[in-house]
Amino acid sequence: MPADVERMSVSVEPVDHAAEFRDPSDLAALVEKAAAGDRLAFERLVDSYHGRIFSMVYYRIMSRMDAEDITQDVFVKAFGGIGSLKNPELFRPWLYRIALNAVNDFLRKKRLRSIFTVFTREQEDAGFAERRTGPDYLERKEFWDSLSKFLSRISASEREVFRQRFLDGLSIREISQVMGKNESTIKTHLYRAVEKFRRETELSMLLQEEMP
Amino acid sequence: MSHDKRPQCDIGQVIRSIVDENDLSPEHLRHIEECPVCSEERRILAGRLGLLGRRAAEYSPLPARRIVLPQEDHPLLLRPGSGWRLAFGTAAGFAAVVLAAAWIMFRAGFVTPVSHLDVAGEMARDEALMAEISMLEENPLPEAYRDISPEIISETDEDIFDFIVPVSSLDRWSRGKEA
Ligand SMILES: [Zn+2]
Repeated sequence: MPADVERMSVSVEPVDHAAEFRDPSDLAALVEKAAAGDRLAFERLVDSYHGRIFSMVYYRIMSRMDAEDITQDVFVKAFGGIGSLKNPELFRPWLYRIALNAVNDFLRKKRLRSIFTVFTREQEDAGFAERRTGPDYLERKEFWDSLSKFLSRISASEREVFRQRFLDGLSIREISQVMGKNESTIKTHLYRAVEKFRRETELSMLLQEEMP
Repeated sequence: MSHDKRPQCDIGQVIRSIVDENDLSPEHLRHIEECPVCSEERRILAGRLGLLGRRAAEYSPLPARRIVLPQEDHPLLLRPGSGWRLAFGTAAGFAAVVLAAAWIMFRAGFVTPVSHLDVAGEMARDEALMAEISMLEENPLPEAYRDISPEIISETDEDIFDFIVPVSSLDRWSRGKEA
């Protein structure tokens, strides 16, 4: 790739709010130790991924209390299953997949209680209850309302791939591993989602206001 | 008649460059870089997507609870291969309870002549116990953990069936077999 073209790469990664491993070999070594039964190594993995998995779950269910429960369950499941994870490089997608399954399981059970929308008023309220009076409450509410409206208008596949790429910050390759689909399928869904995002006026306007 | 082979402005190419710029030809990449319209489209769209992720993180709560892992001697943590011990222990415990109950009933004078129905019930219980033991041998992890890999990912709406993770993808997590 020509140098002048390389410069144009634009970061779309979300804020890294966990002590993520900069060197992939550090993570692989830790995962190998944890897989061999080293409890301390697993606890370090928990420390590093707790925030990320919690956010990933929260983005999908918009309830802090439920996100705490599901995140706890995800790490207990991962703790019980990491011995069977032979390739440490797959730890991240493997963990996100456990989390995604846990979220889907939760939503399935919730649907049985006659909740059919992506984000419901009840879920939003639960999510915002803890800081309802904060100075940025309205801003946050407007943001999540707009985002949930947009996500409810795109297909389930587009929605999940879009979330994993732009909210969870996974790479195309990782998303393909989480979803068990090839990378070109993931890119197709992502392309359609981004195309629709571009035409989404309400959310775009909201984000435009904050752009430099 | 001359044909201009240079790429024209195309929002589709701009979006592709955001999804994965490696998919674009050098000509298209160069066009997006040099064309003021396309480069501005790209800057705005990529900027909004980046901001979306940052805002989502900023507007989300942080986890307040610590993750509590099971104790090391917890039965859920038995490693593969130790399933037969769990099975044997379960079977021995079950047998002890049955014997104790039988002894108590015998001492209390509750034992009645054995009928065909009793024999059939006994056989059914034996078969159920053997099936349980076989299952434990084949699946050393308890039920709560068996759904980690083969579980189907589903979604609420229209493409629920075209985007599920195949059950056979269980093996992808093993060395050398990943996608
Ligand atoms: Zn152009």
